[in-house]
Amino acid sequence: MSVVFLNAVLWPLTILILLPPVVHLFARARPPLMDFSSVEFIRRALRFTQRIRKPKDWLLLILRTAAAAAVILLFLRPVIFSHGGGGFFERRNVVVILDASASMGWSDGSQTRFAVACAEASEILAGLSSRDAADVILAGAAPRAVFPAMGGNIGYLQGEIRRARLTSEALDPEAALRLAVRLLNGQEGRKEICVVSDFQASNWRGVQPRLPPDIGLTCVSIARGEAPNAAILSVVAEPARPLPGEEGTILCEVGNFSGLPQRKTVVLAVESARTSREAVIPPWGRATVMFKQRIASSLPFTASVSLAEDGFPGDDRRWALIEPTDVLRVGVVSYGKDDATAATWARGCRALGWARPELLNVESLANPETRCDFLMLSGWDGTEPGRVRGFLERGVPVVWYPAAGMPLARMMPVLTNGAPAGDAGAKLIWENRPDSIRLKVASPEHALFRAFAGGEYGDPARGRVRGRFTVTAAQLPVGEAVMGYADGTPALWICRGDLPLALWNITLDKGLSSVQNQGEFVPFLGELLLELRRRSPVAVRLAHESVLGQSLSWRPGLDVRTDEVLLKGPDGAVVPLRTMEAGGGMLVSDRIERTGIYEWLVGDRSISREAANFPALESDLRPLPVSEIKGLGALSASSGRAVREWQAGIPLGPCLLWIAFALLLCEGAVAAFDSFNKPVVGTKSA
Amino acid sequence: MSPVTHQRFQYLRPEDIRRLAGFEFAPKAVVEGYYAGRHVSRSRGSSVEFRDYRQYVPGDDLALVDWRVYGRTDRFYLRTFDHETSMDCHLFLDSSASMGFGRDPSKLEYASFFTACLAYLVIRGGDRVSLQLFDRKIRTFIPPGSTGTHLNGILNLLERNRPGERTSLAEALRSSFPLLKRRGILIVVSDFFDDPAAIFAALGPYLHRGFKVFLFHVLTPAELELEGKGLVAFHDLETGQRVIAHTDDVRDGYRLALGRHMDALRDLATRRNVDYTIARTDTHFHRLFERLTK
Repeated sequence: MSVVFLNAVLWPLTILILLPPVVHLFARARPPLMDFSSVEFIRRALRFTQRIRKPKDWLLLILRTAAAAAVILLFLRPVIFSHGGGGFFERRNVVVILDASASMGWSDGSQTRFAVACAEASEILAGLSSRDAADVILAGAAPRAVFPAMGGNIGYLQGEIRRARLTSEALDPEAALRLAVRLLNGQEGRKEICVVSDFQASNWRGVQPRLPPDIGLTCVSIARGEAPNAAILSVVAEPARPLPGEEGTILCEVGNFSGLPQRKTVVLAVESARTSREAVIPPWGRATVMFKQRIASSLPFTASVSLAEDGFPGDDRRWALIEPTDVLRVGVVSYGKDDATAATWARGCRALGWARPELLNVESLANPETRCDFLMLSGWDGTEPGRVRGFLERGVPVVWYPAAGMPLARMMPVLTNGAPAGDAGAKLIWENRPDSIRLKVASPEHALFRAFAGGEYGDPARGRVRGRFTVTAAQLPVGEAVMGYADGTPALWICRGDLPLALWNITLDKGLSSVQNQGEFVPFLGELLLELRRRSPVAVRLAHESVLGQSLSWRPGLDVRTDEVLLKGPDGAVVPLRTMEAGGGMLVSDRIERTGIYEWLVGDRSISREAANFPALESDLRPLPVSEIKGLGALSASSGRAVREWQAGIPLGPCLLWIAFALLLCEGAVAAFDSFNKPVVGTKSA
Repeated sequence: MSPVTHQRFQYLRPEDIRRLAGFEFAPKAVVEGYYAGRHVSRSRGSSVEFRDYRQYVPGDDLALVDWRVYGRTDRFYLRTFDHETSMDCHLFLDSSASMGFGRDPSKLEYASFFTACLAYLVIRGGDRVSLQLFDRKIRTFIPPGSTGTHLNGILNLLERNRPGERTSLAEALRSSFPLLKRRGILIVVSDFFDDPAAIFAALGPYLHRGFKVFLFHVLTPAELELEGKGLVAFHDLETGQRVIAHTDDVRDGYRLALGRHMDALRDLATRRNVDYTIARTDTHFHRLFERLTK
């Protein structure tokens, strides 16, 4: 805290502060002489009223001196800087980061948070003088500065703040801070970043602004009170690419961001059909609402899920684009020569009708654009597990027939992305048996065998083998043996957890196995793939989905002229596109601002669709506690006026005037009290 | 018959004499005197005021035997009567410098008026009056007398009297005690600027001897109220000391101190059965006779 005197030239006036004590102590008039019978009683009275000894006189002297000091200081025009001020005559550079993210649309009462934030930001700018420089960053998913460099036109910035529109985007606080630092770099004078935001915890928690030491950070939190909200957080279809005739499930996750349980009606609209479900959502909890949907054809369709509108309507509706498919692509990868297992898998898939095997080479696994619905690996020894993990994490079920001699420890990193576990020296041993051995169903209740329960499709364990890997359940990742050999060795092991991985220990070499020759093999293979697909994690099976604030992109084929490509928004308006030369001619849209279904068109022909939804991150409107805001290494202000006072200082003039007035009142009161409180003279009637 | 000659005196004016015609000096005090008079004496005598009975002893006057009692009881009892006598009134007038305070009249003038009238009343009643003028010590003493000439002497002395030095009432009282041969009335007219305890210590022998003591505390309104004169250098008339004070600042403290002094005098007087009266110079001194006359 520091104080600056604007009229420092008047400092010599402060000598006048000594005037009251001097007058008090030395001013003695030459009183008239008065004969008196006896001064003894006056002398006694003086013992009580001796002014130099009486606390009242000291108090009066202090009050008068303080009042004089206050009046004299008033002329010096003091200005107080409560937070690191002192640079009153220094040029200031202030970047105001104005949070325009979706959560700022919450209305605390009559005003939205954004309206309050605009007012506070304008207040901060109003505290700047003509020699100061400022800029405003409208922060959303991609922060945008009003001026490309710091400028002095404060009025224009305030006008831009008045014209600023709230977005439905999620906030990227770190990007906004980086932009602010870039704007302030190279500026001379004091540098300050003022963040005016609701400091939504879901956005700001964990943010650690690393600012240069000469840049100060001030946070103005405008979030007041609670902001109860209910939101549709996600809509997913299971399976993500259903087959025609299949009964799919649309899962809708509803969140309750309030301290009270909420009963909500969730409405699913698919084309013209509408279905509703009641959901009770616990406080600060989530509920998943499930809708069954029969897939009639392979044509894509949109599903929208909505809630009754509340105080924060942006997140009460969500779209999902469901694209059924006629065939599912099965990527078959063979790591050995003349791999009979891989070839048999491919033949079996082809026989299924709804699956289309595609033989992939090993290198293609490293390509992120390799697309398939299933991945079947034959003879893989567990090297480079990250490639396969990528598929698993994208929800692609993987069937893995391991290589002989593979260290068993390599199995775990495929699932956990961790270090090899278990017995590091143990290897997968192939065992040729002189006699054939039977398979058996280890878990008859498993959903995999539901189709075989009636016997219509025969015995899925029919067939014998004369070779297999010698492995025990303890050596495998956590899972379940759904099929095994008569001696207990697992033949088909489905790993437990989110990632759909099955370990295949059934050789399909015609010299060693008769399983592939059985009529039950193809339906068993189909059931296995479908079961694994059902087990793939929901979160990774989203259809084409974007969130507001992102740009949509599409790579046109060689036969398409880019100027014929259009992107139509939910309201039918054309979204401007630009071509990214660096992206190989990819067409990229501006940031999307409306939720709904966007459609790529070539001429009049629809070629692709994409759902744009509200960013779920913005639905939890709880602000960061003040202690955590301070943890950002920033000053925390309650309003723009406070920031303005920190920056421009608080003129103490009015305060001093009041103090002087109060001191004089006190002086009068003390004097009056003294006169009213004189001791009563004790005289008795004569 | 008036004891005063036709000579004009400053402190005994004709109008005062006229107004005093209705007064009779009769303090309720027991005195001892040489002559039979109007005042009750502790000596038993031959007045008409019956006192009590006492058993006869040889040598008693048989005329005093109550024969009716003898007839009833067959014993000799004497009837005794109070002896009425003349009274000595001793006037003590403070003539210190502080008594010169005040205007129209000053305290000394006011006290002189009172003293002169009192002397007149006493002599007119056939009693004897003495006068002592004192400040730090006895300046003048006129022994008791009851003649017109004696009154003239007192009045002349009062006219010549001027404020003197510091007050020391206690010292004056102690000095004058041997001068008073008979007990009687002791009237002190002073501003009592002395220690109350010392004053009453000096009065102790008088009281012990049976004097009836009256104290008249002469004060001017200016002394009682300490009027607002602003910042004033007070000059002490007795000591010459100067004290600078603002009357507004010290007024309450002064009143408090003076009030305590007067309260101390009043308390001591009440305990010693002494009559104490405030004599304000703005009230007529005739009102003071209400304490002394009937």
